[in-house]
Amino acid sequence: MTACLGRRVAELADGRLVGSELERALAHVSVCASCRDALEIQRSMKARLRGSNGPGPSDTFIARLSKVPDSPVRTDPSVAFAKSRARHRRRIAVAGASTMVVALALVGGASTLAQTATSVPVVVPNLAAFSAEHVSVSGSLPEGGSARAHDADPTGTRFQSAGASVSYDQTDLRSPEGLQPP
Amino acid sequence: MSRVAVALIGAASLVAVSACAAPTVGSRPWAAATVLAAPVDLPDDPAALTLLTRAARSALTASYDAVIVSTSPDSPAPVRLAIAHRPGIGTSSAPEDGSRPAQLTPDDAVGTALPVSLRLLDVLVAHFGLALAGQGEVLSRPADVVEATDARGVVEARFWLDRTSGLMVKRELIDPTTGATRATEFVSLTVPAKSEIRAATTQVPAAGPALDGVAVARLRSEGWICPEGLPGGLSFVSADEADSGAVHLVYSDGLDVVSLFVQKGHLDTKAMPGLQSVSGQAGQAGQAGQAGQVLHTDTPVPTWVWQSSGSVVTLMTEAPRTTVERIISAVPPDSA
Repeated sequence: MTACLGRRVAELADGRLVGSELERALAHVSVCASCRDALEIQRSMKARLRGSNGPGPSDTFIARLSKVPDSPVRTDPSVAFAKSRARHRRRIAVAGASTMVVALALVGGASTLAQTATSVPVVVPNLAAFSAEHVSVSGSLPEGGSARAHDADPTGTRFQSAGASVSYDQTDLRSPEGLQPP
Repeated sequence: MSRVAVALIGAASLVAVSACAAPTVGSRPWAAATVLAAPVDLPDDPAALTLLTRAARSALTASYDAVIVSTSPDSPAPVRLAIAHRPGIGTSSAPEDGSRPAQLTPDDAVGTALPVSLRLLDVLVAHFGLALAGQGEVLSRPADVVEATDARGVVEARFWLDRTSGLMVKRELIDPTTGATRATEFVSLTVPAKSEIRAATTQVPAAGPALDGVAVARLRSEGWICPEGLPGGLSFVSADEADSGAVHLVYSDGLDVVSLFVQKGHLDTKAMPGLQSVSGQAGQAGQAGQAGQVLHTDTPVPTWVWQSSGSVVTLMTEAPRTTVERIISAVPPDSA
């Protein structure tokens, strides 16, 4: 039997193998259970991704980014900083914001508005939103005790179980009746 | 294939993105990182691949409740987390002591706290040689041990795969520079009879719409910081729209996941009082507010923020500090 396909399984699932390479891969898959298994996983994963697509990349997003001035930070950062800070302060005054969360949101808004102008925008990274995004792609588990990653869903209601006191038959995996291989 | 799917397939998308890119080294020092990140095709043991593939599949299809313990040189004490996975829903996690509410991470995240994901497995295979190293024991149960070896033959990770469930039940990540080890291990594992998530759980918001290779190449050609790779063998995995007009770039070597958020503009350091200033290298104290400085916080995830070439860069990762230092060096802070 020829060598296992390794990462060429992904290429096979993508339809990127052609000619003799494709024939060899298919011949191998027909006799190799593990590669057949891996191919099935790749295909089901891709099918899941196709079925769960959100909106594609936003043309307006790219266009908006393209309009952000590409001027070096030393061009006149003090002026840009002062102008944007003034906008920032006005917005905060109008809104009467008092909490840090609202202030940060306004800074973000000011920053976005500044991007449509010709001056260098002042940026305050929204760390709460960024950390939530990082967690969503990395699967990492925030350990710092802060609940900032949860702010995006302040209701905290999504994916709640029917009742918080759901009981389980805690079948210990050390027993023979434990979790079976999938 | 859809644009989102292209972006999510990880290593496969690297080829398309790289083909579109026209990096210019010189005025963009980060572009040089491309050379450092090119993965080497290392031989893999079919038995190891089978075990890891099974672990990835088990992580998606098995229902389980577990307690995992993580230790790291960067953490003063072990972290104990209660996690619960339900197929099609995701993985909820919360401190075992209940000090904060559980949150839910979707199954299609690039990486996970312990059970290896299919996306990360793709990148792992591309970067390391994988071999079945022997047998071990976790939770008093037999497990197969797989090692991930870099191009120099140095073992950078070990995985324990539970023979019964197929799940990855222990992982050790070894910093090849310092030898420091980060470990995550199941200390209890049970399978529930019902499928609901145990407690009220907050969903981790999904990442923004994906940016395909063409969009990333366009941003790169317009001078945006979009490295094709980062030091430490970190390859570009995906990009998406982030909050406040930021571009979210994701990198991984199959073991660690790095998020780089890039925004054009000037960093307002005074609006970020909760962050400590470090001097361009992770962990070294400096003077706040100066150009060339890097701001840092460890919560809720380790974060570094700095100004570089007209952009504000926010780095988030649980990777070792030595890796963070190398990333910052590749996207250097503006000098004073």
